[in-house]
Amino acid sequence: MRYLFLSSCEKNFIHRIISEGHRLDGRNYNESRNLQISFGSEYGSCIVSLGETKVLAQVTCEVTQPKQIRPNEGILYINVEISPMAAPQFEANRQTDLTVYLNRLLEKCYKDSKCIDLESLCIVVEEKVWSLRVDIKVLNHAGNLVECASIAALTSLAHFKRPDVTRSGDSVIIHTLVEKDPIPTVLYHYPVCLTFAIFQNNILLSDPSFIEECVCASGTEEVNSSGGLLVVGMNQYRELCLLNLSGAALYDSSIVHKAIKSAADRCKEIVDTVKKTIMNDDTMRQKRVRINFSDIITSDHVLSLNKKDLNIRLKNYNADLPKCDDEEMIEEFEDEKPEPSKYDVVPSLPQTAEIIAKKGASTWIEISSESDED
Amino acid sequence: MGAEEQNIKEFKLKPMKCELNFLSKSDGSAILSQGETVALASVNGPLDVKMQSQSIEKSTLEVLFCSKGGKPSVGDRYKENIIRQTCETAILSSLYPRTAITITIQELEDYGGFLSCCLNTACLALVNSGVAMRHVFAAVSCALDDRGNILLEPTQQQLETARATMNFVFDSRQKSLVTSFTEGAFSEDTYKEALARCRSASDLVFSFYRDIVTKYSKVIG
Amino acid sequence: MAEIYKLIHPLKYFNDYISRNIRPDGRKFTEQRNIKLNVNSLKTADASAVVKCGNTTIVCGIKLELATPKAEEPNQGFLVTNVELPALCSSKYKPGPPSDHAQVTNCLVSDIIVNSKSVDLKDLCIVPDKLAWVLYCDMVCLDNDGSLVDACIIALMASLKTLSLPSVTYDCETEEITVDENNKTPLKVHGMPVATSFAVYKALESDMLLMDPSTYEEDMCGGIGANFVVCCNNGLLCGTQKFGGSNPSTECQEEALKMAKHRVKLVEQVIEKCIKNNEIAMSR
Repeated sequence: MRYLFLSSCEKNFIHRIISEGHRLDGRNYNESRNLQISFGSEYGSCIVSLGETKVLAQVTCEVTQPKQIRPNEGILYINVEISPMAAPQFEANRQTDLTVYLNRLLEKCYKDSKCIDLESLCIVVEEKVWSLRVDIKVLNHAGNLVECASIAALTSLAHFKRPDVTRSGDSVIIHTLVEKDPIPTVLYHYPVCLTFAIFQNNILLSDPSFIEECVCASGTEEVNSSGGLLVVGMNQYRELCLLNLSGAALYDSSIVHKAIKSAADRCKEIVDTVKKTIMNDDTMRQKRVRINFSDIITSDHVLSLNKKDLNIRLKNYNADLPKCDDEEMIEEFEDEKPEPSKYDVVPSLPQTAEIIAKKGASTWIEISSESDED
Repeated sequence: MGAEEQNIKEFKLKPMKCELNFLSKSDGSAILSQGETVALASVNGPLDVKMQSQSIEKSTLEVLFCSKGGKPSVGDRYKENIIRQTCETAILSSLYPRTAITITIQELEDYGGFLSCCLNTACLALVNSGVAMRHVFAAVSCALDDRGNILLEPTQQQLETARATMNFVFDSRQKSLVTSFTEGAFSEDTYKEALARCRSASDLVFSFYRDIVTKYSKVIG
Repeated sequence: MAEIYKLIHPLKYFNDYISRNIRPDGRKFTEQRNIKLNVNSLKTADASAVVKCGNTTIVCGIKLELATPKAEEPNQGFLVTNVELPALCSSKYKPGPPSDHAQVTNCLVSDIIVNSKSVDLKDLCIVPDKLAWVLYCDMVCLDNDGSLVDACIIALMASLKTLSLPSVTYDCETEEITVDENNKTPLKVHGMPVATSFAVYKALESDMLLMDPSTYEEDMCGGIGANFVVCCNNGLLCGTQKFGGSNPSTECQEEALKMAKHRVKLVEQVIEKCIKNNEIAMSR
């Protein structure tokens, strides 16, 4: 992995504006970026974008032998890949710490929370079970990979349908999608991981961007802070499935409570969106509308430098009302006090006026000749 | 893109849709759909590179192909090789000595003619990244059906029954053949005819490139 | 002196030869290197061949194994090719997992075998859905001096032609397998694909085709391996691959196809003679 260095002035700047209540992209502390989910033509393939962060998830299945200790359960396997496509600092075919961290978090969130009914994936006990493989590919890393990847994993698992099987004696027949309708996966609950960046041990930012993630845990000479990244995994019933803190130690546990509280609402919101988009997709498919990744290509995105894509925004600057801003400018200009004049116009004699230098206007030190004589 | 779609219909190429700068973190990226086949490509570079793969006279080109699901296979290496060798002829790599240019291609949908879609996407991503190039290139695929007819840009159903498939890549300057790869058996005459038809069809791909680039450059210009 | 010249002006050195219509190793543009072929060279393999095209040396060994066919294709056996480019064959390769070049060459070789349909996989099936032959075809390169695909295909086809399968009886009820090594039937090989490599070089605005290029020529023409591989089988083309290098004109390509067709006859003769020789030796 090529190392990415952040300059001190970048760090200081981010710390400063955050302590003043601003974020670089103009969001509030608890505001998340725009979530968008689109599906591919196959069951269980989707692209989830959270702001500019984009993740592709694909679920595939195959028939395998079950594990010996769990002979009546299917197998769930999660694999995360970060290619150089995500950001230039990543190298091809190289596992980074981030890949392992992400993989482990997702395994905890989806495997260990037992949200999938693995027993329903069993075909013949001790012989044949379905093995589901979730492939997560990071397309663009613009911060908060954990949340984006977990939504992608959840959506693809909930969207996925496996082919139907029939058992006749010893042999198992796997039907193609045309022969028999495929079966959806049973999910007991829908867990989602959310990320919070903690700044200076008391500020909680939801959905941190790439630079905020990099900065939050590192102090500089100016800002001697402790902070870190807190990952909260929670399902739609507000049940906690996962907690993970990386970065500095916290000396106040109330911030964790605060994070969990705000995560609960956000989780509900995300799960509702996921369910709704899957429902929509299902009705579309029933109407035999062909859904394909080519639908996400928009030609108006070519306008790459318009306001929507400008990722740095100033809170007090509104691009929609340029006129208003101009007026403010004028007002400001009028308010500005003109420099006091150094001259006075004085009527001295009848019918005459004189311009005389103001008293004290000159900063020159006057040396009177009298003192000299003293 | 209404006008183009009409044009494309006359020559029976699949409708193409493209978006440049799809990814914010890459130096150049493009997503391209040709009919139902979709590919995504990103280009990063010139970047610094490890000593062992550094070349003192030209830039090292690294190509990574990611399939949609499952493990990497020998077939992926073959695709990478085709894409790398094609891009190598197009990029003026001697302008960037001791650096690397990485091209990453992600499969999104494969409904026939996938590899030629990948090559076109890679070309658009390279154009978007601003890497200096000798020429652009266009890939066109065709299939030979069981009656011996040549079908341009075959669909998946046509591919399943096809006797042979042929893919050709042409450069934009002289329309000469940059890369070709074939599957199946065919006679010499069919090969020549397929080559000629694909060559004339490549004009459409080039005019599509031109449209996309003019649209894009209007905005930034 | 020539060596120093080659080192200092690599491009000019090569250009000087090409402009005088001759290649650095003294061949004409359309001249191939000598081919030496030997079959049944390895006693441990079920069929084998060693081929030398100029300096390029390939050993091919085929090992037979029994396996259950795939559920999707219950009446087909398997043919697995594997091309190895170990560190000893060239200074370009390092020991370790197979290099990209090895994987690509393997892909080309297996594609040619599949496209030419020279081995019908259904012939390899013994009992549908139960038992089939697996042919592990390993090709090891001892010395890589260019035109790898050509040499691999010659070695592989020669060994396939000498391969004979022992008869197998399978008892469906007891699932017992008995192999009779004394009763062998030769494998049916349909057709005879022959690959011909070319390097495409652009000198003075005209394209040159160098037949059967050496590694040095391949490197000078750019790209990894040969630029242009044409494979002919029974008068049909079964794979034309062009990667990298400069771009040949249409006439150039036609010429290449013609040359490839001529070469097929030569190579076929070599293989047939070699096998006949082998049979005579065996019968003694």
